[in-house]
Amino acid sequence: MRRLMVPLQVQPPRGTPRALRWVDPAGSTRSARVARVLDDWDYAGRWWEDEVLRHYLLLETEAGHTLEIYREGDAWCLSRVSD
Amino acid sequence: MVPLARQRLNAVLCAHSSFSFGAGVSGPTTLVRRAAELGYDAIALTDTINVTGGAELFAAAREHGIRALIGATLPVRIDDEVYSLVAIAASRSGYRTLNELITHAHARDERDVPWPVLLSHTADLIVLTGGRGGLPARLLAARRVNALEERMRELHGAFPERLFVQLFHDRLPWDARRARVLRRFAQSLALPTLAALEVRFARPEDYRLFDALVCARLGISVQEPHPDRPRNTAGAMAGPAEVAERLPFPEALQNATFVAETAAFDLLPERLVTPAARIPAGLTADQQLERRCFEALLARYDVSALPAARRKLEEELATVRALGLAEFFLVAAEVTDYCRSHGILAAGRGSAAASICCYLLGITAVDPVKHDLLFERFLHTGKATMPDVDIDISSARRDEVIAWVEHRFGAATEAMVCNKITYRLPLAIQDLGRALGLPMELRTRLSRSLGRDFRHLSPRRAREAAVAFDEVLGEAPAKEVLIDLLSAMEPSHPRHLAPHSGGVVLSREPLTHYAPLERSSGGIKIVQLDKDDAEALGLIKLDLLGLRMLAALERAREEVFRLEGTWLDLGELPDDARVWDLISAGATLGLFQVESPSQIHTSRVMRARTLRDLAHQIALIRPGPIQSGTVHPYLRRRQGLEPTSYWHPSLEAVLGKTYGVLLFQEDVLRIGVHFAGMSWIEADRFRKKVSSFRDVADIEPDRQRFIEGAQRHVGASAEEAEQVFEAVKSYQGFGFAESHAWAFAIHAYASGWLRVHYPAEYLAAIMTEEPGMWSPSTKRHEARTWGVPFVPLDVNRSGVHYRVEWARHEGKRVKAVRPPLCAVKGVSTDAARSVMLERLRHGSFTSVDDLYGRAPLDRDVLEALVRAGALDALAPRREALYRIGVLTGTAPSGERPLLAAPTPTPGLEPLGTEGHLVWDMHTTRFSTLELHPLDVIRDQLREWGAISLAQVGRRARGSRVRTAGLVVSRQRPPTAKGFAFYVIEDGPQRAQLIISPDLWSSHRTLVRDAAILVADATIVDTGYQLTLKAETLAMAEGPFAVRGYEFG
Repeated sequence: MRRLMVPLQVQPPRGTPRALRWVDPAGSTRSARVARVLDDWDYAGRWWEDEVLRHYLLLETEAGHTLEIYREGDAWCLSRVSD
Repeated sequence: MVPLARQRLNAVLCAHSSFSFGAGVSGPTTLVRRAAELGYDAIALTDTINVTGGAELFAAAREHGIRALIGATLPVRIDDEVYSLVAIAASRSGYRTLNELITHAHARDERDVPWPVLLSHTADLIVLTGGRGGLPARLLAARRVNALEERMRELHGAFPERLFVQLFHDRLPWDARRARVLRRFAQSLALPTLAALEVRFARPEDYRLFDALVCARLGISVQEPHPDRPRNTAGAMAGPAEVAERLPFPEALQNATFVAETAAFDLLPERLVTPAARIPAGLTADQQLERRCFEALLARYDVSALPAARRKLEEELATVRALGLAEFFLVAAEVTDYCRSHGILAAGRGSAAASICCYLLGITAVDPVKHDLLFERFLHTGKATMPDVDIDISSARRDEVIAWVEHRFGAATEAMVCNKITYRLPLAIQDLGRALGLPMELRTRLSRSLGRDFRHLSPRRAREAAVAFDEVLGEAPAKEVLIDLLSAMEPSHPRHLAPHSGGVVLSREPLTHYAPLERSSGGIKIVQLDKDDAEALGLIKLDLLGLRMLAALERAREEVFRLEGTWLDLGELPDDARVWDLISAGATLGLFQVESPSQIHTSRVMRARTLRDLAHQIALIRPGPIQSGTVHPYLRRRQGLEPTSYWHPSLEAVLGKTYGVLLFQEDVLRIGVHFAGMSWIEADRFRKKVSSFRDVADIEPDRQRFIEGAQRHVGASAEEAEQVFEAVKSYQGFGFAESHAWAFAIHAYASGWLRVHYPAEYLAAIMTEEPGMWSPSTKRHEARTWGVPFVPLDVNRSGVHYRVEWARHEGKRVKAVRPPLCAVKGVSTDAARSVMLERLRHGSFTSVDDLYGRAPLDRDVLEALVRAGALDALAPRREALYRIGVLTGTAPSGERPLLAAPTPTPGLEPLGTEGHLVWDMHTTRFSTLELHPLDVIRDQLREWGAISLAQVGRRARGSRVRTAGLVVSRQRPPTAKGFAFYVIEDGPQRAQLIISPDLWSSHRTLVRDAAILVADATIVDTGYQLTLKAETLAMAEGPFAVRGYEFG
């Protein structure tokens, strides 16, 4: 999987994501519809440096791609995508 | 199929408390409280190879109305791999099986349970296969399915109907899939599954502390990854709905409920169980106790005292019979019988000394009839807790007694209870600071900087020590993180278990019926229960306490016998006016219990002339009487400076002996019964509550009951009753039982008697055994006022202990004290003995070469002996050191070189007196020279205008002086309202320096670090001990510091 770490818009913002939208490093706006959630987990981060807990989701899109996204507080991030 | 919503999980089955030591955060009570909040009906504690939290768990569960289960997480060894497995006791018998397994694990260096041992200890145990570290999870991950199937079949064979494949979900990647795979695997073997999340802390916010504690346990910093570290907050106790969401398997949830409902049993019994005493055939325990007591009654009491004594004995025996405790008394008597028959000084103390049975059995030396002591403090019908029998034993021979107890009662039924060592701020800073990556040097500086103000605090109160954190860590980001972690710790977070100082539990059946056994790091066998847990589980405990003063008395008696041929009966010493004169003068340094600065001061005011006076004096300077304002009225009334008065006329019968004030624990008990109309049971509870309550709100509910009781029982007015309640309420913290004070007064008098009649022998004894609070150096200078000289350490004359020998001193033949070779740091008893034996075999050593060739000593030991002056008679120290260096290159010590080492010693400058003093202090903590460390900087002190303490002693009270002294004691008791009391020393003179709270806070670092204090002060008192009130403080640099007594 390729590391991206770009901000992500998620619909709906709470609950299981159905639609995603982000701007890739080349500046193009991309979107995807979620077919299913493959897995989810939590990562507490470097708490001694004030990092907060992240909730990760591994998703399969309707186009057949695999995305790893996480929520940190109210913000979403696209962390990795399958090549 | 039952809908998932109805598969309500009702139990937490894998909870780790802080007793998992570095693998759990919350105490059992917190876990129970949280489980109840989340709606669970039951909780199982499954700490890692211990059940230490069990008693607390069951008590808390009772309080919160849920059921408790006890189990443990066991590391099980298969070949070279160790897997976690959870065992839960299904019954009392299962609990014993569990304890046997844990005991087995602790007996092995690896601290694990071999697979065959697990399979042979199966009775009434329910087994869960473990979470991420368990056998199924790990073997499936390694794709070793065949091996796993084989092991599971073996387990199932050993635990039919009681084996469950544990499903877990730690909110880590692929945990949901893992749970499904595990479930399918279990189904393939027809094994039941069980849903159990591992709980490591009560709430998600405890996660940071958990991670830091895990890092501390692993010895790594938070920057280092490790598979055992948590990665999220999944270790927090989850509610039933969340568990069902993470593990949506109805049968697994149902099985958890099933286990919780079938495994419950009560760990806390209804009655106490005594060990088996030796009883002649044909007699019951009660009959044997009566026989022994009545035989002794006739021997101990004359005709006039006999009726009262008989009456008291019959009353006590009736109580003992009603409580079924005869064997308890007989067992305690067996211990003191053994000590007596082997010449070991031993004496019962505590509330037991109020018992005529204990007196007649020879357990105590205090006659409770003569001294009118209150038996009910010790025992009364209705008392549900085990009475305390504390036996003080000569510390030098306590191990011998404990070995006999183990032999007598059997290895399986005897062990020391443990202390749960809980975190205090310095230790928590070390552990958590290391986890945060603070270097050791910084952690040590921070711990030291806490000083007397903060080091006693629990970590939770770290913020109160902000000034110390600022001083060392400044604005470092780690500072706030560290303080946050410390503040998150529970007040009594345990760090490890250690042997209790003397509590031995004795049981009628193997101790594994109650708890597992293990060996401490020092090799002592301990049971995983502290004294309160042991009592809660119905075990009998005897406190066999090593008392250094008894060892000193024993040693002094032997020295007297060696030199004078007189064998002293320390229990029958004559009443001697010179002893009382000594105590009244406050010349009590070195005496038992009355040598502290405040006791020295009290001695001069109290002017004790009887054992009763001495017992009162010993009890007076304690937190209870100090807090309740007893000290000054007592002393003033005793001196006739104010009349004795009582809060209510009915109290004259209770407080008549103590001038109308509260002195002893019994006074609170008697007031409860005779004034407030309580039963003995109620009064006993009330006394305990008064001595230990932390929040005023805890004691307030008793106020109204007390007042109404007093109005009803003795017709007291509300104001009078209120006044008495206030006085009783302030009797907080430790106070003496009267019986205990009497027991100690006997030892104190014996120490004074020996000090008066045989000062040299007594000095040698207290230098060897080191009872009390003063350093060897202070005692050495005190010896100058006793007229006892020291003779030098000498490899040709010194032995293993301080010994008295005849010597010429100032033209007279006197007894002098010779230090032993063992007084030198780094010289063991064995090394000293080897020198002594060689001396006995082949005569004195004639030179450094001769010693080197004959005594097989390590170079370090030889050099330490030289530095300490043990070879001064053979060669100057520097030359001797040089020669040892040369000789070590020629042959091993203990062998003469074939050719004498020819290297001549170059001319080395002699060490000089000051050099001798410094080397002496560094090697033996004192010097036989009469020179004091302050003498070394006397010129400098004169320059500053500081006069000696001897000169201060000649000035009038109220004078202002500038003086200086080596700090030899630092006290800042919590009862002193912020005042500190330091003792400074200058030769044989000492002064207590009173430091006000303002002066303390403006000189916090100085008073913490100063070895020598220079003070401008006002003289408050003169005499044997000077008292000065400090006004300004400065520090002087000296050649070394003395590590003196510290308190508060």
